[in-house]
Amino acid sequence: MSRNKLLLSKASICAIVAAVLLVLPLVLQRNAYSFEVARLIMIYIILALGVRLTLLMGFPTLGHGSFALIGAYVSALLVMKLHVSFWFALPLAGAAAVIVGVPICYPSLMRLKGGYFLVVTVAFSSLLELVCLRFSSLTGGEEGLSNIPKVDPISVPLLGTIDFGSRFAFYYLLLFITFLVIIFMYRLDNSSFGRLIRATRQSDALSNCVGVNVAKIRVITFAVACFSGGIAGSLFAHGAQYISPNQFGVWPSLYILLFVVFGGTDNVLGPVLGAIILRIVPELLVSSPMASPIIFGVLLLFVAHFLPEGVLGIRRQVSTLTRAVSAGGKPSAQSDT
Amino acid sequence: MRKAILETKKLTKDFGGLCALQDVSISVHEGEFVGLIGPNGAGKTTLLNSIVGIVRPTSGRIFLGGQDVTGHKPHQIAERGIAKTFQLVTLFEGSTVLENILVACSMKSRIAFWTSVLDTPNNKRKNAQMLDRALGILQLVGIVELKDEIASTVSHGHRRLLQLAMALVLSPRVLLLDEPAAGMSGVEIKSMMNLVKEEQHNGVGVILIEHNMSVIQNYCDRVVVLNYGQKIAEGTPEQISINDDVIKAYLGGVEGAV
Repeated sequence: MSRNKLLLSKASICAIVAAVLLVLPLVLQRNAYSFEVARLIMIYIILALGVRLTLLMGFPTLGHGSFALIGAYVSALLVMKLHVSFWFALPLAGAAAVIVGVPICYPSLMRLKGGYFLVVTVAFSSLLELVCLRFSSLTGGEEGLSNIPKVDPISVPLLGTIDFGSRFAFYYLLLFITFLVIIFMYRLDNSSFGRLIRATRQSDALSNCVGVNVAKIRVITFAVACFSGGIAGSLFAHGAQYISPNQFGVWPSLYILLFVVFGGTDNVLGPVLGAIILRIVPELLVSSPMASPIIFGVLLLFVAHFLPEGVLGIRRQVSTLTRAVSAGGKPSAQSDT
Repeated sequence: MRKAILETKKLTKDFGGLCALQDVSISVHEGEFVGLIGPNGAGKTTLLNSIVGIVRPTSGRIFLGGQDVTGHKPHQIAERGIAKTFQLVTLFEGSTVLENILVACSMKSRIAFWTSVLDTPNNKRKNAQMLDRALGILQLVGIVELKDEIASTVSHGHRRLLQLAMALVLSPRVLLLDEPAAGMSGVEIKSMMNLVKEEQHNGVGVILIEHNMSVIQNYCDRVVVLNYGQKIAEGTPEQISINDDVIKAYLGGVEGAV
């Protein structure tokens, strides 16, 4: 009974969230800035989910933005210079991030863990930023690339041609892709492969001794994280029609990691909530962009102190609290058993 | 004659000048129970670790069922049928007892990325089989009622049993047990040894490191003694218990004294 009720409430929450997200553009329609924030949030959600994945196997990263940077440049250059369709450039951007990211990080994935890996990713990220600045003939150097073409229209049977030029259409496209990424990550989490990822974080030696190929699990997982990062970068480039090296340097990567830590890593919803709350709340509270980092910091301190498992940890805290209360309220019931 | 299932030939491990193992040749036959004893620091654990590939031997070869497996990675060794338990109980501490076993089941079920994420019908069947297998083995070692407990919270004896269960679920040809019963009570030791005995009857070769001599006397067909990385004696438990070199290694030798 209670399980059914719970399921019902979960379904209703999902329905409400879906409705809000679908109707949101109609409410925002005049405000171009709000669209921009919504777009960034969704891109950050995709990136944060990738960071969560690497955290799940015990590899925190401050270089996840690099994969977005690779994806953004590859996708933009393919479309601009080679006139490839966006729809081909999108998966290629993901693939490029995997091709660059996996071999470069492979030695560190095999030998380092935790904070040591974090340091390597900082180096990787800074290096990539430098490379992008220096190869200005291709990347546009400090100015970056602008006038990146918008997403090509596609013709869908029954619906006719969909033009993604308007910010409405792009919003829905991004919403759809973000949704797909969330579903994918959720299924990965709850699959037997996800179980192996968590096992490799807890003990390499034991995983190996029960026949789990730790190296393979790490490479595949990291490749998935790279791929999602590359896709996010491509979507950013074609959404903003602009990309420059500092868009996804170490600093934005730090924010992405904080979204994950803020939201909690237990569940795929953690990074999603983290990205939404940490992006929106400062925007709502203060108008000056200078002041928003202060709000950001206060929120982070609050969570670090009261909800060390992230915002989602609140559920466990509430449940232990209610259990404690009900146990205290009915001492006779406990002595009976 | 039964054939040797696992064999090491002149295995040597040098830790930068410190010789942990020196030309150690041992063998286990199908369904044989071999005890491995020796004073602390004799190289017993290093021997098992080099067999499963955690430690890379400096020289010497390891044969499993006649095939050279020297230099194989630990997960490949596990796949070929050698299961090992750790001297210090090692578990996936934050996961439930059942999850621990399920991870160990993954090898036999050949978990792959895409089928697992897409959850194909075949994968659903695999998962159901894995769950059956896992619950079966937990039932066998007698901790099935603890399946939803977090591994770090169960008692020491149960942790030892879980560790053994994770080795058994690999259906190994050789079982390497590094002091599996350390810190357990007499009754617990007995029930654990009976489980191992059961495996032995099914044809599994067992190497057991153990300091408890009565366990060695009661269960082992053959005993190998290591001291300072060298094999100093080998024979039946009776022969070993009266071997001069062994007594000297354990009690310290005085010139002329017996």
